[in-house]
Amino acid sequence: MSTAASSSTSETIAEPGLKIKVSTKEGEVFELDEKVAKMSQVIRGILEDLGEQNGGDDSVLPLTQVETRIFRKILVWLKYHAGHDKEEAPKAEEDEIIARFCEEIPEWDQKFLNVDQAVILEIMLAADYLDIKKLRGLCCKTVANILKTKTVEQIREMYGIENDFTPEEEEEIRKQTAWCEDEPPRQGSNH
Amino acid sequence: MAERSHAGEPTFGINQLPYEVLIAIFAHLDCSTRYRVRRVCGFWNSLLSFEFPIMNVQFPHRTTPGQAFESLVDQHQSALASFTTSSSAGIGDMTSKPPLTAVRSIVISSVSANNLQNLLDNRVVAFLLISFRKLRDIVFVGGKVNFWLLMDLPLGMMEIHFKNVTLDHISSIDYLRERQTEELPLSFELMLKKALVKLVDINVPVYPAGQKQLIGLDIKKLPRVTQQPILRIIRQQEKNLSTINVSDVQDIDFGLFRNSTLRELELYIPKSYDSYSHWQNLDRFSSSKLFRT
Repeated sequence: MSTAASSSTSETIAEPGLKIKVSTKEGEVFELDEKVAKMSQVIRGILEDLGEQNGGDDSVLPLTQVETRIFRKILVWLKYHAGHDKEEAPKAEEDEIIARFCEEIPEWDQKFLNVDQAVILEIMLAADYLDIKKLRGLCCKTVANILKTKTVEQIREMYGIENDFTPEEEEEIRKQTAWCEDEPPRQGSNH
Repeated sequence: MAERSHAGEPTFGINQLPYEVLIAIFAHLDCSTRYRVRRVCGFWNSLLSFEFPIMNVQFPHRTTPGQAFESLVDQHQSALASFTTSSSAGIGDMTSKPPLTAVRSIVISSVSANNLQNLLDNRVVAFLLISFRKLRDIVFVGGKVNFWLLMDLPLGMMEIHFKNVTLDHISSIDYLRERQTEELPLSFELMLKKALVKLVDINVPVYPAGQKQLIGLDIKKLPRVTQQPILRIIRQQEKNLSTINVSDVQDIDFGLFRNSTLRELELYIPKSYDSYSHWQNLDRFSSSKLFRT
């Protein structure tokens, strides 16, 4: 990805406005625009709590669970979406479910998440920790899309999961789910 | 779970995610994938049984609507009992079971040619909706289905899956299509399409010579507004056409398309075009070939 340039610009942001400082697990400090930082509900919450009593310019929010390498990626995502997203009204539950099934992942995000499986999982974990719903949702959808195309065996292999069922248990589940096929639907190169 | 390492660095495993995140992933799956991934490991199975409980309903040969209702209530009761008491039996049980109102999935199977339409009368549907507020998908296995049935279900929230089901009176699809445009919300249309795609997938008809081109002619006649989704399908499914534009549509040879692509495209052709009566064809196909037990 050609995003390396934008990910390491913590010192060179030109625009005025409030800056929020956060530090990663390794202790590296990043300076974010307020708008970008507030896309994380966790940071937003902390800022709102601090807001009244003026947290002071030099305070650094420690994000102890997020590694620098993952945070850089998330920052890329946040900056892009801070610049490109319109404020979205919260959706009704029904619309949300429909969106979950029918909306496709936008091209930019597809490219962004076109990384190693393990990295997606880590981004997802960090997005969960920082409470960035949209990013978390995108990761979930990406992983779900991958699962849809794989057989049970392939999933186990991909994530290094051991088959810990006894033969009887496996048979039991097979019975419960007898109507659905072992193989994922089509998707192959020939029909 | 086994830790794999690439170049000395330990890889982050999917089961290290908090289980809420795993559940969020599962929530994005369609119901058949959700059933399939239960077989991956005990942890996934117990998470899925807990978060997306299934109820199996069987309608034996010659069930009457009254019996269907009673058997549904019975099974509901016994399921309720097992949900509240058992924490011993079963695979990978969690410490407590969710209330049955949380059932997300119902599998309705019928071994004979029961007309599910008749069995699922208003009373049954009302019962389903009241007892299972969180119902996310219904799977029909066997029996006959008529699309009027779908009108009674809150389709916008649900995924409907058919397996070995005979389609009765295809004309009800036309009825639905007409209504879609006037009264039904867009979400209904989308869900309907999803349901139809799945249904058609089961049948996998192979288009006879020349009919692909006929469908192609219909598609070329479509108004511009509907061409965006069509282009998207073509770009996704036909590898050598992944970069086509609206202006190219007129030059495409639809005869070279894969059957599965055309099946999806067909959903966008209004019945009134009628140069190819594909739905009747599908009906014939489904009644002849589908009923194998």
